[in-house]
Amino acid sequence: MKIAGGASMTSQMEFRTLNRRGRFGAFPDLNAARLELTKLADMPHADLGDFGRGGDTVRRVMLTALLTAWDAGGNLPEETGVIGWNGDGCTAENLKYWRDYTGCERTSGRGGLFVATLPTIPYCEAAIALGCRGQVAYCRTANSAARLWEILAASPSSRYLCGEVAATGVCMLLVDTAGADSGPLPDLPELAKVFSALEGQA
Amino acid sequence: MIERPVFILGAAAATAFGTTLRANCDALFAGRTAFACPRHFDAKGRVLGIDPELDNGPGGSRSERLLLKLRDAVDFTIPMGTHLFAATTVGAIDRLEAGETVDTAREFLHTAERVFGCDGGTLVSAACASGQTAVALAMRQLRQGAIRRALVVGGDVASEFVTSGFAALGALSHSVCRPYDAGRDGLTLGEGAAALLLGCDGPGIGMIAGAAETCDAAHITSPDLSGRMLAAACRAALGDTVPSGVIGHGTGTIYNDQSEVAALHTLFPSGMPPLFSLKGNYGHTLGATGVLQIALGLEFSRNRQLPPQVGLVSPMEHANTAAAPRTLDGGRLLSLNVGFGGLNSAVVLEAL
Repeated sequence: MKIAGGASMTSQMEFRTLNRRGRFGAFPDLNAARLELTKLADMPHADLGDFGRGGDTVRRVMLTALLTAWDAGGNLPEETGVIGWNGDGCTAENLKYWRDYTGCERTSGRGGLFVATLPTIPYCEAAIALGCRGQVAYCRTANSAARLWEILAASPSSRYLCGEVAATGVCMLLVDTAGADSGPLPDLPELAKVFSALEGQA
Repeated sequence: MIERPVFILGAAAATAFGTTLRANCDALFAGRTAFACPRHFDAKGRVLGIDPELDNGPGGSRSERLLLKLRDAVDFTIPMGTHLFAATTVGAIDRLEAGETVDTAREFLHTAERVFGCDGGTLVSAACASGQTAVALAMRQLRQGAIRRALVVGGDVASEFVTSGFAALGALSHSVCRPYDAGRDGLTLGEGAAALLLGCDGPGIGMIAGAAETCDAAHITSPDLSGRMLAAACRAALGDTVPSGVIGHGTGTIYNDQSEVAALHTLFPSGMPPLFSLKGNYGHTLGATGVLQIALGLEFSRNRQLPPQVGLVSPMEHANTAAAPRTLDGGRLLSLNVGFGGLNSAVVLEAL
């Protein structure tokens, strides 16, 4: 198992990539980030037609996933899986939907806000954008990346985009589960810390 | 490569029909439904699959009462060191409705850890495919030898939060759901929980013979109507075997059922095996449904019978479903889950 690529973004909309050592931003907003990042040479094909449909979390994950694929060298195989791991969960999205619904005197909710309450939605949007048709799921485990590596080692796809969403930023790694081992992967409490550790090794 | 079998060492369900698999099966074969107006919130005249026992009783919330009821239903020993996989969509959403700012899915996991005495569990969320996705994850961890025993718990309660959300999407039936019926008009929500104890040392009461998941990567709420990637998941789970029956996801929405039947028709062009959905009896139990399908599927497999499809008036084209019980020619069953985001899950099970 080895890391084939990675990208992270901060709440200030600064993006970094692992292999290509890319540094982008800070961008004034996510639309500006999208416009600039999709101009990069070798950027893989991505369907971003629905970029505006999702909330900020969806768009942050879509852009970080896209940059991760770019960092790994281009288009991802169709069988690529997408796994969300730990992070902040959906409390903010749940509250947003519920306050909106109760604020309308419980007469009607907004479907778009409701759909966003599922923790898999940002990862599914990333899968749609990049054409990943493997397994997609969200898992919360103890704060140990070793547990994530264990799950991936047993999983059926040979490549997984793994993501972690927090208020402080989004981090994604492309894990090649079928490739030759590049040594043990770091066991740290957050994917962002794994990213930083790998950045330091590169 | 021959993969290690994964055995089902115990199964339990906690629903409106009771806390034994037998009671649940009897209700299904009698064509009973759990549909009623909820008393714990204003559903605006809609009926849901309600378990009235969850209205009151021990536990600080409906979701905790659901897990306590499931614990009472568990008639097998959970060995020390068993790894818990908790499957849910919104978890302890009733606590958020009550004004608490909590991570509702994480609260569900923590409550399940406490109720079943399993520390350090894994929460699995894959929309309405959460239950089977958790089973598949557990199966792979067991096969790999990363864990020795897995307890998969799936559950969700009926809530105003989810009801209003599906209403906003226009996905709810105007009456009650009618899975695989030509006149179906939407889903009916439900509530319940189920549990499976899995391990590699059998024989146990059944086995998980295969599992696979895919993503349509097409649309965030609508399934790919061709059923292409659901069929791919079924192929991967089945290998070269043919099931004797299918427990479908069968929500009763126009698109879900169309996509499922298209996938099954692609797989079995000369005639699909008998098809049945629990949703006609319980409503859509969300994170519970996949685990419940497997738990009850063991009974169907053992008895070589599928229950009657409740609500069926005129089966949709190509759907091999019936309003009467069906006799199966074998015990191997295919169980399907489908979820928002284009998530597909197929599990193959058999009673031993």
